[in-house]
Amino acid sequence: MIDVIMSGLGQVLQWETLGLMVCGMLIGFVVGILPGLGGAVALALLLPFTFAMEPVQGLVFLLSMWIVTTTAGDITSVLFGIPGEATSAAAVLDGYPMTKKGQGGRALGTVLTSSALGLIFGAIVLGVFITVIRPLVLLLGPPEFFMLVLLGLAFVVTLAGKSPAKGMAMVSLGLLVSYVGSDPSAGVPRFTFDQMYLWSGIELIPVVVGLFGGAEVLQLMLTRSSIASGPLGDTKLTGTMRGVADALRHWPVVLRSSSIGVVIGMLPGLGGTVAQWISYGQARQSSKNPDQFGKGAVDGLVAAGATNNAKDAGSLIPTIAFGIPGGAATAVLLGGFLVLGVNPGQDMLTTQLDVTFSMVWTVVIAGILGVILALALVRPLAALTKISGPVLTPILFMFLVIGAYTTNNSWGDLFVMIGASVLGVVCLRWDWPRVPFLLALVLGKLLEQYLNLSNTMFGSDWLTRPGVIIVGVIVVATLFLSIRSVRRDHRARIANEPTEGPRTRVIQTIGRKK
Amino acid sequence: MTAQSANRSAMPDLVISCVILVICGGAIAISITYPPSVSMLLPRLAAGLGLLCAAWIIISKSIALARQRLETGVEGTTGPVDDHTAVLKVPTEDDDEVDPNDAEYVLSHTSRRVWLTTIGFIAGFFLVLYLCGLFVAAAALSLVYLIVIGKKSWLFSLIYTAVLTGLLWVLMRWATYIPSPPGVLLPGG
Repeated sequence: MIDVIMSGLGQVLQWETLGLMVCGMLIGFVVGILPGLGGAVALALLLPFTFAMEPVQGLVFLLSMWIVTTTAGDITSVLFGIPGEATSAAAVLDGYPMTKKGQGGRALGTVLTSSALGLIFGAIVLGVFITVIRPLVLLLGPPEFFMLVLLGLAFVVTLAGKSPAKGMAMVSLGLLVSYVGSDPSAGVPRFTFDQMYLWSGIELIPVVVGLFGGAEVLQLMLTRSSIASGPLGDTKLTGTMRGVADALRHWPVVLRSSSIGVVIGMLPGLGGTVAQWISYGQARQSSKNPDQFGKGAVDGLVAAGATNNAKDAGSLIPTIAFGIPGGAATAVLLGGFLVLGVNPGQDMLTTQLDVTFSMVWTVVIAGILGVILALALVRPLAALTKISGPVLTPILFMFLVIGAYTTNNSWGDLFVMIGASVLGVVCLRWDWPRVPFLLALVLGKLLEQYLNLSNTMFGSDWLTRPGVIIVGVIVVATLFLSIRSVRRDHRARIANEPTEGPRTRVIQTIGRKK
Repeated sequence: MTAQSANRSAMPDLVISCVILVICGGAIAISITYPPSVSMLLPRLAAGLGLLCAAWIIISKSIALARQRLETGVEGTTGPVDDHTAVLKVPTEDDDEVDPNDAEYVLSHTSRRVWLTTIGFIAGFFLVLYLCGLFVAAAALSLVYLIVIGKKSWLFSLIYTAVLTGLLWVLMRWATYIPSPPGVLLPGG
């Protein structure tokens, strides 16, 4: 095992790979600082550029970008009171008051250091979990994996927010799109309408690029504005080392918040928006000065920073071990795995274990480097918020076109991208969930592949395997509990509507952004 | 929520559900035309699930709409003018609470003129892309977009366009060799 762990490190510490990591991190900073362009969008837009890369290089590039996106979101939260990412909203509550008191540097030092510590904690849990879960995953066969993929789809009820029916409708649409193309058993084209282009099925990348990237670029074109209205001016950015010391001094808060982040990150559907508020709440409960929360409490900021990054590492666990992504970004990342020829599940825990550990190392190295770079480049990074929408639009537009076209060098992919963009806009405008569609598109082919394998290998006997029955019960329980929870939330929302305060509304608005 | 605003939020859901219903119904109908050797179990299950969910949304939204219309009719006091006033007041109260970068807010509060201009630019870009290829389209889009929409100076726009197109050329022709969409009139453009 030690050999594999060191082999993973060795693969990351190649000059070319490290260069790609730095490139990914710089892009991640830009994306993280600009609100609206989340990690999922950036992953979608840059996925096509990994085609020519080795699997490890591609994964390092994508992962380092994604990891840094979360870290960078904290910078605007602290300096401008505007969360660069939806998951950085809790950092605003104590980070921005500290900046207003002239302690911007200290606040940045605190939040960035706690982010790095949270990430390292998450990476350690990820590494340990991979080692522990390996024998269990090796016991599973195609029937169990079929059921696990089904479980992943069952989680969409949670991802669908307040309307499970909408989520399931989007799942069925995504599954139908994934079944376009040649039938895997008979080789007969299905749902192709005599179009040669559709014979090989609908590619994932143009859909992802359009669904997330296209909709966000259109939004940018419609708003035409930059994000920060106030100048950074003479905001003091000194005292960062004091902030670093603050984060280290509050290690119990780091530990608790990171644990919450990892656990919630592992549960598909909940994600960082929930994790940050749970963690913030526990930090306040255990604080000696709870009345300082919201006015510049250091432990509040530490909790926000640590949770934010730890949950990313946590969400990688089900993605790697079972191929079940927890949210939009990990769903795109899962698409990236498949594009790069890395198969989640048994492959990533056996033949490609070194690749998996290179991902763990990437999380650690990119997390630490990201904080060092962020502290060094904080002023130029903050200046990025002044870039106006129209200046960014042509660049992003090029990414959309290149991203979609390079999949097959076909105009058909561009049309698919445009269609997916329209779908993305419709979903955003009328509050239909996009992630279940994407999740179904990614998992649809896997579902069919595992079903065919199960039938070929075991006939109908696979239905009586203990693993299948256990996961089947979990699927039913997940569906039942999710629907019940959604209905209870709906009733509570109706009951609480008159007492809803402005802060709750702001949090809900920020939470809806992604 | 007023009856009018409820109508406005339910109607798009109804339309979208109807589209999904048609797609899933069509998929089931088409699946019957395939020979039995073609594996259609999962596509049929998926289409069936979509059909059920879409029907559920249509029925529940229709009932909610009908109830709201009935309540409005019974109250009899909330005429069109009152509703209109209420709808106009809501955004004013929420102005401080709504995030102006929120996607739903941006898409629903953008004026028709801005929508048409934006769609016009996108359509124009794809037309130039089809006719002249990526590099010409990139240059045309960035130059025109920065001058017309960004209100940037000619000099800035020209330099930006030259740098963007140049970088794109270097990236695709020299660095990565990624093929770019060729134009019908200018295959190398």
